Amino acid sequence: MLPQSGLSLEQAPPLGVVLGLFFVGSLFGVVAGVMVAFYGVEVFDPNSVGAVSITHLFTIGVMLFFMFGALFQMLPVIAGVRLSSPSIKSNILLYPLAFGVVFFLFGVNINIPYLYIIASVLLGVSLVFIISIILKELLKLTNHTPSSKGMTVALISLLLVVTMGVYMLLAISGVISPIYYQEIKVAHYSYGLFGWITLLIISISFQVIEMFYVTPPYPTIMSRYLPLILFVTILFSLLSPLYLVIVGILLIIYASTTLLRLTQKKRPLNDATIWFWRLGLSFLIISIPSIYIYPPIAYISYGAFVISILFAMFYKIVPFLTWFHLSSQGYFTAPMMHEIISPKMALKHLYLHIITIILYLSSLLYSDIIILAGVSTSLSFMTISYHIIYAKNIYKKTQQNEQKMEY
Amino acid sequence: MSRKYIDTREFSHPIPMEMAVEVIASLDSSSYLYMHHNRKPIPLLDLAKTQRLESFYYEDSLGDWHILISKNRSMDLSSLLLEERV
Repeated sequence: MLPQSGLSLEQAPPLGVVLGLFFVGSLFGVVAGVMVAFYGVEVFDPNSVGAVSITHLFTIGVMLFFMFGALFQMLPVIAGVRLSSPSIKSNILLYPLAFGVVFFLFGVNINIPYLYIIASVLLGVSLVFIISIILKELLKLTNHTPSSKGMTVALISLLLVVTMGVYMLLAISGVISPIYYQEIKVAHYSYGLFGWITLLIISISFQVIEMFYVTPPYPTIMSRYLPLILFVTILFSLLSPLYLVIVGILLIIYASTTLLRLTQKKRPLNDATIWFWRLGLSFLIISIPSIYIYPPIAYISYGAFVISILFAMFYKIVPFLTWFHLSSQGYFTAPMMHEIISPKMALKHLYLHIITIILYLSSLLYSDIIILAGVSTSLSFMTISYHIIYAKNIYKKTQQNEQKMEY
Repeated sequence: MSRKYIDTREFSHPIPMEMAVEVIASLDSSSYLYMHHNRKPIPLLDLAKTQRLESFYYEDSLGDWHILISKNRSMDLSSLLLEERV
C-alpha cells in the first residue's frame, strides 16, 4: 500500500475516538496540576514519590492519551494505515490505561504491592495490545515514508518501555527479583523520553511541518536516518552516560533545523500552533545543556517541549476532524474550523501555557510559586477539555439542526 | 459555464479544503470549481465521490494539481480543463 498524504473518508477515525482519548488526557492534565500543587517542589527530586507520581501522570496519563489520539488520526494520513473497528480498539486501550494510571498512582503513594501488580496488568495488557496492532499494520507497509518508518521505531521503543515498566512494577511488588532494577530503570526512562516521546514527535514532524506550514522539506539525510540513529544510540544508555551527549547533539540539530524550516514558510502565518511548535522546539534545545547545569530546568524544559507540541497538534486536529466529519456527511454549511476553536482562544491558551512554564521556572527560585504553577497547569488542561466539549456540541447541534446537501 | 477559480498552492493544510468546500456549497448547475493545488487533495476528492459530485483532476508536469468539481453530473469537466489549458 502506498502511503498517502491525506485523510480519506473511509480511513478517518470516528470523531469520538480521537476526542475521547484527548478528553481523558486533558482530565489527567487537570489532576496533574492539582498534584503538583500538593507535592510542591518535591517533584524536582527524581527519587521522591512526588516526582515518580507526576512524571507518570504526565507521561502515561497525559502524553500517552494525547499521542494515541493523534496516532489514530495521523496513521491514515501519514502511513495510509487504517485500523479496523477503531472505536472498539480505542476503548480497549482507554479504560484499562486510565485505571492503570490510577492504580499506579495509588500504588506509589500508598505503597501496597498488589496495587502495583494490578497497575502492571492493566497498563501492560492495554498498551501491548494496541502497540502490537499498530506495529503489525506498519510492518506490512511496502513503501515507507520517513514518518511511517520513524513511527515504527518509536512504537518499538514504547514496547520496550512498557516491558521494562512492567518488570519494574513486578520487581517493586516482590513478584520477581529486582536484580537488574537500576540498569532497567535507566533504559526505561531513556527509551521512554527519547525513543518513544521525542522520536514520535520527530517522525510526525517530518510530514506535518511541511504540510501544515508549507515549508521546504527536511534534509533527506535527517528524515531518513535520524530515527534509527537515535534508537541505536539509546541502546548505549545501558553502557555509558555518554549516550546522552550524542542524543543531545542529535536533538539540538533536529530542533534547530525545524526552527529554521518554520522561518522558510511560503506564506506569512502566525497562528497559535506555529508558536506552540517554536516554543516547544526552543525548550527542547534548552533542556539538553540544562541536564548538566541544573537538572530541574531540564525537567521543566523537556515537559514544556512535549506539552507545547501536543497542544500544537491538538489545535490542528480537533477543528479539522470535527469540520471534516460534518462536511463529508454533506453538511456543507457546517461551522468553519475557526468557529469550532477560535484562533483567538488558541492564542490566549498559548499565553496561559507560557505563563505556566514561567511559573514552573520561577518556583526553582521561590518554592511557593509551585502552587501557582500547579493551578495554571490545571487551568491549561481545563481549556483543552472545554474545547473538546464545545467541538462535540457543535458536531451534535449541526447534525440535529442543519440540512444535509443532497445532489 | 461559469468557473469559480481558487489557487490554494501556497495555503497550508487544511485551509485549501475549507476554501474548496465553501465554493462547492455555492455552486449551481452551470458553475464549477477549478482548484489549483500543490498536492493531490485526497479528502476533497473522496468527499466529492461520497456526495456524488462530478469531479476531474490532473497533475501537470510541475507537480501541480488541477481539480474540477461540479454539482452537474452531465458537465464534461475533462473538456473544460482541456479548454483551460489550450
